[in-house]
Amino acid sequence: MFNGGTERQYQVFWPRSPRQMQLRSLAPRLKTLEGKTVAQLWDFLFRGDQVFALIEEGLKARFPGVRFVSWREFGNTHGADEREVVARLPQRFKELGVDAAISGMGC
Amino acid sequence: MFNGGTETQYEVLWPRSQRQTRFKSLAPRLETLEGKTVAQLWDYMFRGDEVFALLEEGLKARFPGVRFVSWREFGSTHGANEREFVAALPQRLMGLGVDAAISGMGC
Amino acid sequence: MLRASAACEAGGIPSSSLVCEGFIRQAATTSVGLGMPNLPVARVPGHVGVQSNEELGRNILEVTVERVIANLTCEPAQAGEPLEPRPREVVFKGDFDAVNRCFYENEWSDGLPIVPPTREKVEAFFAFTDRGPDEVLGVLLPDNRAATVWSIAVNGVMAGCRPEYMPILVALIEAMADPRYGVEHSGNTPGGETLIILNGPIVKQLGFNYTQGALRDGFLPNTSVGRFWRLYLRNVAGFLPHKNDKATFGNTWRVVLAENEEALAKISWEPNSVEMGFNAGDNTVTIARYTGSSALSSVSGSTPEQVLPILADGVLKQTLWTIVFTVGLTMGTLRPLLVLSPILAETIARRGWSKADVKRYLFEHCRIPAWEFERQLRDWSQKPIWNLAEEARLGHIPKVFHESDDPNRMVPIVFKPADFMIAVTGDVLRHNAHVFAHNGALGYPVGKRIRLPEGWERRLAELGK
Repeated sequence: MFNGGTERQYQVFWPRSPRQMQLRSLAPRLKTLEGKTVAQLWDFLFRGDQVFALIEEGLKARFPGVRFVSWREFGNTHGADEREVVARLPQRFKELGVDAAISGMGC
Repeated sequence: MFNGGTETQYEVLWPRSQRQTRFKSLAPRLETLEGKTVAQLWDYMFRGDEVFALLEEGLKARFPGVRFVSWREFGSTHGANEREFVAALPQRLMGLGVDAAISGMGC
Repeated sequence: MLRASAACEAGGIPSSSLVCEGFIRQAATTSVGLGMPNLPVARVPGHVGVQSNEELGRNILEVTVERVIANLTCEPAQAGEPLEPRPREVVFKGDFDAVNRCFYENEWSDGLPIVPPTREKVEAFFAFTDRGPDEVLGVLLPDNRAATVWSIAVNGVMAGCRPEYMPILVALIEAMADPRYGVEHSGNTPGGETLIILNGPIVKQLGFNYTQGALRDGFLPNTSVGRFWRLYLRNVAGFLPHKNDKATFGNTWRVVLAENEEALAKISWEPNSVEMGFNAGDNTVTIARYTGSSALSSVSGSTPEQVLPILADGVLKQTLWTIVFTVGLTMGTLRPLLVLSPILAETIARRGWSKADVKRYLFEHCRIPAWEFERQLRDWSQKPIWNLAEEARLGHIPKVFHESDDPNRMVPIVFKPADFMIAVTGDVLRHNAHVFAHNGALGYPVGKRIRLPEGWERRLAELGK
């Protein structure tokens, strides 16, 4: 709590409100991408199609056995039905045997 | 001066500033428009050309001898040179023998 | 229009002022400022903009004519002068709530709580100016009040400005009082709002935001100085809604837009201050009124040839009816403003394009067919005759507006390339632009140098800045 000034002192209240979300742990990281299946999640903006193609090329060069599930499979993660798309992801990842995801584009 | 409230009292200053013009008298009105010359002053907006034509019709019906100096004579009262225009106006009106003026359009 | 009427009366010529019904109250308030509170007006029923010819005819012949006759032949009642406080008088004593209630009821505040302008707080502002409190920077219409340095400090306190912003506040009111700006038009119906552009080392010295969120509130200097502008327009110029301020909708005041001079220096583009006639590195304010603005999001491309068509299209689409300030209501006073984010400016500049090159591009490409230009003028003004050929023949407009009789010929929206203004600020890594629609002569761009007091650096250092 701060104090300051020489005029009348006001005891004032916090203008914000408590968060409704607890901190959560991230999923465990993979030891390697070799032989893993990686999902591409795209918000259909900022040349993500080109970016994901380049990332595929770069990752395959390092991990020849890496597999990808195309962004075409999941739909727009930033469209009008964003909530439904995101809610469906865990189930779809299970069905598709996804081990990791790359999500873009934050631009 | 007003007072109010029970907490710290602030003596506050006026946020405005004095007017720099005293009230001025209007020009004397005319006894009649019959035989008089009336200037049309237009800001080139809001169908003033049509309004002035209608006023001519209506005033001539009441005062057959009234004469008009068209707005075309003066140019716009609201152009980029408005200040210069207004400053020169009294002299111009006197030079044209004008007895009264109708100024529009405040819309 | 009333200014013309007042000039007639002062010259001994009785006048009648034609005022549409919804503007009677504004006419009454404006007349007070002109020193003629009993200036006679003749009511025009409704608004001419939506009446058929028959309706207009009936209204003028059945209502307005009689009022004109009365205005010119019947002596109006005398009006008394209202009592007002003396300039440095304490007008109220009360606690925080009571002060705010008093200021709100007297229309001295903007509806938000103000910082009570006590003598101590006001006098603190004079540590940051060499100007005397009674110095008059100009007389502001429509209220015809003196723009005193004292009143600047009072409104600065109210807005939440810090004392060290005072040199900027003084420069702003010098600009407001400059006849080229046209402060008297600030109550017009398009309801445009001023944009203040700040340049010079003072941007960083006083902590103005000049990157991401450049037009967003939340930064004390940008926000409080923007608020000060509107408070001063209300309290000293005299623009109050339902009285002298006839904005149909209006805009709220804008925060100060501070230019990113580092970004400009990196690409060797001159800052806005140089465009306004000052030297690079000068501390300046530039004011102009804009009726609206639009964000151009994601102006994509890696070359000027790719991004400039998008920018030109955005400027054109934002211009709309304001072409009447290029031809019509005024001639050649339209100055559209294009604000570029630094990364967008860099994209253009790295291929060797200067600001002048960009302006030339905009002049060549922000064009509409001549028939559309003339139709816009006729629709807006409801005048049947608008003819670019005739205006060019009379020498009122440049020949570029009439290079042939082809109605499909493309004509520019401004007189010359230099009429476009360009500023650089905003999120440094986001390729967005922002376009402002200018209100022409009714808020023409004016720049003023900010005069710093003696010992400015020392005074700032004492504040820990």
